[in-house]
Amino acid sequence: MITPMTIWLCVAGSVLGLIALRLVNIAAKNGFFRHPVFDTGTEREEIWIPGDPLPHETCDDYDDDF
Amino acid sequence: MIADILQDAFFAAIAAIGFASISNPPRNTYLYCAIIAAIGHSLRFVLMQSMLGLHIVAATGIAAFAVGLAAVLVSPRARIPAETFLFPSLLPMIPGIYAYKAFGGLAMCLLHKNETDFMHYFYLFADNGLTCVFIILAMVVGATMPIFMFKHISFRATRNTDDL
Amino acid sequence: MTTISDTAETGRFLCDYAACLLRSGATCIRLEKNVQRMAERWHLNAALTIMPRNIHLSVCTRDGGESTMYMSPAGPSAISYDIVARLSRLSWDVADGTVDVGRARSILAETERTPAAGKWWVLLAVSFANASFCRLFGGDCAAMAIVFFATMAGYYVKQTMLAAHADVRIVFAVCAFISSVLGATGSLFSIGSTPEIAIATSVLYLVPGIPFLNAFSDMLDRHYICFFSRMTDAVILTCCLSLGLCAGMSLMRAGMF
Repeated sequence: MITPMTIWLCVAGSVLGLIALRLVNIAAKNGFFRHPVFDTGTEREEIWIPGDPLPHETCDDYDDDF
Repeated sequence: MIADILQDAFFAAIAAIGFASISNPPRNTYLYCAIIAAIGHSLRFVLMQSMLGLHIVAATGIAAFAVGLAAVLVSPRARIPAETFLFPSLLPMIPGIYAYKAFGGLAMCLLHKNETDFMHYFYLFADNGLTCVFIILAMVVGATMPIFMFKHISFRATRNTDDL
Repeated sequence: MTTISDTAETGRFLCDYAACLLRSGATCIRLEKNVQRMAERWHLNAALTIMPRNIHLSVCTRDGGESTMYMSPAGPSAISYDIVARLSRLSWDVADGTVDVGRARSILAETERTPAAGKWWVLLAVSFANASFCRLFGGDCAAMAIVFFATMAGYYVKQTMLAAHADVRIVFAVCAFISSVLGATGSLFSIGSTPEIAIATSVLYLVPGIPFLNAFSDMLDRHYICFFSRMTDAVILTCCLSLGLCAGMSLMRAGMF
């Protein structure tokens, strides 16, 4: 059902959305998100225990050199 | 009454600065635009009041003449061509509402249901359109008249006389 | 005395100069005066044909040499009175003999790169201007505030879409639609006592005032082709603006008349 209220909400919402999108873009360009908020490390970074071989000692992480 | 005129002048000045900024004028013209537009718009306001009761076209023409005169006198001082701040100062007087009401009327003509409705909307289209065209014409004629009356001032405004 | 290679260089410069002026929104009389002034200094006869999208310039030396035709596309118009003022000053500097062709060309190139006024400043100034316009038409404070935000949203969308190289006619229709819907906030939530003035004035910042004024100014100078082209441009933009406004008003159940 198209009521003036839905139209108003759609327009106001999309303008706000556009502004938010642009702000995020500007922030990204200026390097605000250089360190990602959510990030997954490699397997080695996540479950490395002191004493494990260092990266340069083994060449591949997954031991899949077939 | 005086308060009304001052209020009209003040808001016309703000409107002139804002609408002028769209057309990238040189920085030092904003102030001139504001003052000249305030004079022009408040003059039109006075002319259209009940005592004088001039038609909007005539009032706009006279006000535009005053605006043009002020612009021509100021332009050599600011060393910028007169139209750079003449046209922005006329912007608050542009008949925008008449312009889009004319097209609104035209659109309603297409959606009419009977002849009476059509005639009504066609009348609105013609009325608003004609008023709009004649206001702009009066504005341009009024404002450019001083430019041609003082040709030697207005077309030499940007000349660098210090170097001569 | 002017040599042939000089004539070629000056002709090219004069033509590019006129195209830049046309693009920046100067009137035809300004174009003709400025070009004639410089041509006279260089002892040339110059005839200018101003077409809507091109400048044709025919140049010949005073001693009856061959005449050469130059043509420059005007390119997309971007009104900038700052550029018009600088170029007018340049024409006087040339006429007074303080600037030669090479220097004039470099000044022209420099002037063409003049940055536009700050985006945020224009956005704010236009919003305040439209709000005060609402006041001039008798709106109350609530209507002014609504018009302020409706204009800000619409003009922001306009800047964004124009930066993305969207077609200017579509931009006008979309912005008029957004501004009129947001301008109807007053009647939707029953804010203030003059909601209809808010709707009517919320799109006024889109009315192409300068093209209208330039068109009639060209008409008075008998440049009828330019008059028609500028007028048609302005009328089409107003038409698009009305289209967006009508759509917005009918969806918000607000009558124009």
